[in-house]
Amino acid sequence: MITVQSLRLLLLASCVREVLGTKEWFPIPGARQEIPGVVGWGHRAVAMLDLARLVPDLRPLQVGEQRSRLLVLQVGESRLAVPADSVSSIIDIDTDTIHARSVTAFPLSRSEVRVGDEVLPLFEPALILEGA
Amino acid sequence: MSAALFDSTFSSERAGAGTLLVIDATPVKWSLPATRVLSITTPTNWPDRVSSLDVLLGGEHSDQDAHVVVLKSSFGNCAFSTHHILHLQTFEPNSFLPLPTLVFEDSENHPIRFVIFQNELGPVIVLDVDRLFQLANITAVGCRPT
Repeated sequence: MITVQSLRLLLLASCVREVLGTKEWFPIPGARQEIPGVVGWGHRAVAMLDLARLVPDLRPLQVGEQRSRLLVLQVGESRLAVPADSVSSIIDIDTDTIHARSVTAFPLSRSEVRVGDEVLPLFEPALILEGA
Repeated sequence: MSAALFDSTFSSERAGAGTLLVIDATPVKWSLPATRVLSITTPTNWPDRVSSLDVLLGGEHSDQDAHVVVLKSSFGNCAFSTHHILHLQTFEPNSFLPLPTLVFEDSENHPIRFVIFQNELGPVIVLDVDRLFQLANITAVGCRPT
């Protein structure tokens, strides 16, 4: 589970390549609104997705600002860097608890999972490719 | 790394592989492969209107552009003006990191190709001269084939 401000998301652990601490990102002029820049990682320039730019009322990352964690995700043949305020330990979930999205409204999600009393969207980074 | 300031003229023969003409538009550093630079002159030496590189790249227009850079593209030569300081800098070939296509809505036509993190003063963005030429034509800001 990852959090960005008040946003709480689940993410399949299998797509996580690495979880880093605070890492500087660089804005790219003319970049997509939700991918405002890149991060240098393993001798690559990796596109950085700011989840806060996908959800109304969340505060987007400003130039020079970082979050305390940076997830590097495998998305198809590409990598995607996602800053987060926190990354929790892995949660085992029963696949029966995954349902089509009906309660939550996160745009990069088609399904959601009930965890205790809470229903959380299942973040699918690959959906960003469909909008590319 | 080497650096040289320009005031009026520049010959691409001075530049070797991996050398970029860096346009210091702080906080952004744009750059062009030096082998594509035919000449650098002052605006007074250039009789006709040229594209403002600064405007083309999303910056502000200046009435006092200090340099006119003539570039060699695959489609012809083209002149751009800029008021920013120019200098030459040589980078290791393996420091040119391709920019992920995900970053742009229309990566096919976007002039940014690479980014270099080697510079301690911040990243250097490498422009594709051919795409820059096409962008100038599309946006009709006065690209003048030479």
